[in-house]
Amino acid sequence: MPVYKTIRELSTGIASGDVSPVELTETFISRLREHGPVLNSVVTITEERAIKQAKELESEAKVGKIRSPLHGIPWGGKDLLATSGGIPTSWGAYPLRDQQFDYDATVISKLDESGAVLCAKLAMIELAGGMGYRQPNASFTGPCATPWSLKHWSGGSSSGSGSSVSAGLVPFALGSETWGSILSPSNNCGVSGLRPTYGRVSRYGAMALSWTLDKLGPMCLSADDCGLVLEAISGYDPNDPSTDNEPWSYEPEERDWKIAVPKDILEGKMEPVAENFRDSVKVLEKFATVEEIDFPEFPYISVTRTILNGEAAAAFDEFCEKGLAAELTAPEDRYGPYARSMTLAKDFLRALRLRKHMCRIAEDVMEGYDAVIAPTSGSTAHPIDKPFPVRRPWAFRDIMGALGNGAGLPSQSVPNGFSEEGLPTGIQFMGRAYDENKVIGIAKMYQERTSWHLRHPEMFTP
Amino acid sequence: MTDSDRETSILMELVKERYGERLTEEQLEHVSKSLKTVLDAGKALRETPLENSDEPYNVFKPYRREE
Repeated sequence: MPVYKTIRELSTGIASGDVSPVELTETFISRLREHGPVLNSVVTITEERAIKQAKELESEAKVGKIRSPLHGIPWGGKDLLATSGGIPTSWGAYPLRDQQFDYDATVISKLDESGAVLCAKLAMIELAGGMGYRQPNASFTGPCATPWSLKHWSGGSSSGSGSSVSAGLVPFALGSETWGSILSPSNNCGVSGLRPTYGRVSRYGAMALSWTLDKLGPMCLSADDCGLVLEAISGYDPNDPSTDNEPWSYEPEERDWKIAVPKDILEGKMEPVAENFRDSVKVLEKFATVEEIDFPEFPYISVTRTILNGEAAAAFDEFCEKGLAAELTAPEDRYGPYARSMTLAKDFLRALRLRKHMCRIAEDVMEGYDAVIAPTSGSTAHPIDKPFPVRRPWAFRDIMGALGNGAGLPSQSVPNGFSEEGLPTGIQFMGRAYDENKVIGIAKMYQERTSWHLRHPEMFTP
Repeated sequence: MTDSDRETSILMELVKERYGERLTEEQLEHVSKSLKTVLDAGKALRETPLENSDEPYNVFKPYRREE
């Protein structure tokens, strides 16, 4: 059974002829159809496109033509990636449920060229959380559950991407992160998720929430798989001027690392999160030097928040002017955008001016270290039927998220244990800009010494 | 009434002018609370000094079509 096999394992089977891309695609489409509705993790199954693609790839494999390690591997994309051929791209929002594009997002074209098979468009928080949702029920497809407990939320906004990989409905998925949207579901669903450096991956054809904060990245069964997918989707794109000119290849390093832990990082975190993090540090100390660092006082959160507020208000100006916010699922999303639209131009520009200082602070503090580590989230998955607390202490002082996203830094999250309730927790490895090979390399070495990523939810294990 | 309350109240008038017809009283109350957060963030930004030479961290390139 190919379920819960990594890309590397499946790829070996396809290259040797032991695994058929068509059968693999049929297996995962069947799982998407059976389990997607249970989890609310799937929006559209792209069966016709997938089978056609898989047949072509199978013919190529039979004559020894293997395009990349992703040849014949099924995958799912967050439903904010434009797809041609009459496949809807809903952005998770009821008023846009029938929206269609006549082109494919660059990442979809790149994965097509690499031989990956798009099998589904996956559920997400409406407009990637851009309206300020405060509960799991903020998508027209319903609240998405973590496969570890149907009573708990998958995290968001890349909800279906995390949930579907965790449930073995696809071997990998793509998500997007503006602030926490890849790392949060990676934490809650117990999968490995990578937020790449800003500009590493083209966003052309992806819904824009915040032009200078949005990133697209992989969510997989291992950090190693994240590296394989990132290599396929990274690179310069003339349609996205933010993309980096330098090509990137996945070459994970294996050596003695120097890792930093921010002072007081466990303050306000839930006990199982803190306990699992302390255990992870003990594992890391077997192959890395771990030292404490301190980020200086700086309005990290206000800088990133103000940039997000200003850009999101502009990005959804037409949407809101048409009154479409009133049709969104979460009641708070129906009025959420109006306060943000009052962000003063001077405050927005001040945030952009302070951003340069924030980037330099990150570089100064992180210089000499291969990664900064922290719990991926301050808590385990939230109950699926309850609003978020007004002030989540772990979210309120999310300096790693504010700095990491505001400065465009990469971060690899991997599972690092469970709570007594059986809910997963995660650890993130945040690197300096363009240091994906380091953060993936450290996470890979951590996973070679632990087995958390090899555990899968019983309910979905064949 | 604090300075922050006064600023919130002034901006709320603009929200009501532009979007009042589509928002209920309860929703407007929530918008008012969110506005305070938006303004507080701006206040926090102003507490960090900047030099005149500190440019916004944007890269703008003049456009010319390739010939």
